[in-house]
Amino acid sequence: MNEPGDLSFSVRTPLGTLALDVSLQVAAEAPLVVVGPNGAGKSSLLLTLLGALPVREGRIQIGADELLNTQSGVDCPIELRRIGYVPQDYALFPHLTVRQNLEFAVRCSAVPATRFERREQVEAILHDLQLSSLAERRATALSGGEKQRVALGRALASRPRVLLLDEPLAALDAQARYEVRLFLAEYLETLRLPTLIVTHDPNDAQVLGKRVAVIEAGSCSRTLTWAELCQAPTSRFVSEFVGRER
Amino acid sequence: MKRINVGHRAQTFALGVLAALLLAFLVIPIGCLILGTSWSQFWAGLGHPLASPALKLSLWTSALALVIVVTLGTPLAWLLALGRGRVSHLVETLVVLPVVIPPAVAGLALLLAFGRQGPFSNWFSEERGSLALTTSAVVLAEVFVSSAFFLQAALAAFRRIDARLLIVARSLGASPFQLFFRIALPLAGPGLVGGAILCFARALGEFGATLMFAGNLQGKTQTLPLAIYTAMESDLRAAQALSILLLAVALALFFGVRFAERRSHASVEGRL
Repeated sequence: MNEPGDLSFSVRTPLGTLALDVSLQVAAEAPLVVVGPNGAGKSSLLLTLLGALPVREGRIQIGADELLNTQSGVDCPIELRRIGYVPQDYALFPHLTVRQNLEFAVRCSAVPATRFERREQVEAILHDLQLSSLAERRATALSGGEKQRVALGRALASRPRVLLLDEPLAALDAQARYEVRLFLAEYLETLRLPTLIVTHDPNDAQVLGKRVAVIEAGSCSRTLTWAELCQAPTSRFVSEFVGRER
Repeated sequence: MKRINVGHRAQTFALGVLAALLLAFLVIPIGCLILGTSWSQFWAGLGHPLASPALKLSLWTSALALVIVVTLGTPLAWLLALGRGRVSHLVETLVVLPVVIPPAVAGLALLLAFGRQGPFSNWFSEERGSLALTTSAVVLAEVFVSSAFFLQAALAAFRRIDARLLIVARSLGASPFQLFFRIALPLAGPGLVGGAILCFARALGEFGATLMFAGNLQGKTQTLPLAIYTAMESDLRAAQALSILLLAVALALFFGVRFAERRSHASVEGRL
């Protein structure tokens, strides 16, 4: 049942004054970008999928594998969900080097591997994400773009079945953001993992996502393409987001 | 040109006088302790027959108490730091309570628990009777009064860790041991060292509970503070010399804590 598959979920839970109510599907070949105003529950959505925030009612599935089903009482703990998570400021382990950050993830992985395989895996990620020359640096001594690649590599090193990125480019300056965005778009293409990206930046939505979902006041249930979003802005937020406010 | 008026100056002066009074009161006794002796008297005092056995006993019992507290207290503090429920709040209050329990009360409580009349009395042979009045009692008394200092510092150090680091580690599949040994311990490390130093200092200075529970038997339960108390009755110079020795150790530990705290903040901010 651990075959990679689409992520589908439907979660309903109170979030402060807000009621989070989101039902979506993410396919491996089409990264989904979730946009919405500040405080709409975007980051919290990722935490509920991850298992770090409780869900009152809902269901989360990867392929045929059920991670959460409040009706039948299934609630897979965060450690066993195999969901790769890259938080907003990357949260690299500050006491470890780049290589050690990746090694930690490989060692924690639920996928069994020999010592040799684990080392190979770390080397492969260092190479793929152009981190080889930074391997022995402390995680704290990196630029924003470098941290972003390490955080992504660390998430992938645990062999996740799904990838969640929270504002992956928000911590970067304008120049770096442009470059990292293109790199990320290309790299995600090669991964073919169901990927959910939260952002407040229209450029990210356009470049990174094949599908876009808009969360407003906690709820969202359909995905559109960028073109569809531009053609028929459904709310004031959307028209401003796509730059159609006149 | 505007000037601070006389009334304001007088007010600042009044506050300064109050502050200076307490400051003087705190500094003068320490000054008398150190300055009221000469090098030759100091060395003679250290040569007092009570000094060397008491110093040795103090150092190794405090060290053993420290090992016990750190080994058992670090997991306890970590579990409490992770806990969110009412139970962990209650336990947290319980374990830091010894900070406010008077040492004499702690000593009596230990005596009732581990003495001849205690629930564990039948664990001991007829001639030993109980733990009371043994070197083990010294260590137990030190553990009891000093553990809270370590636990408080350890709890604070674990809570300073960025929660997102722990969420990420768990999402990677980290086991409880991996999370504890590879992430939590290194990040809280300097804070734990600070707590350990405080704990050791408290154990070294422990007097009341030890006197009540372990007694004042030379070479067996007479730690440095008890030796000072005993020496004072016959030889004030010796008591003074031992006090200066204890003070020097305490000061060294104090600066150790300061240093560890600075490292602790650096490690959390990732500057380490």
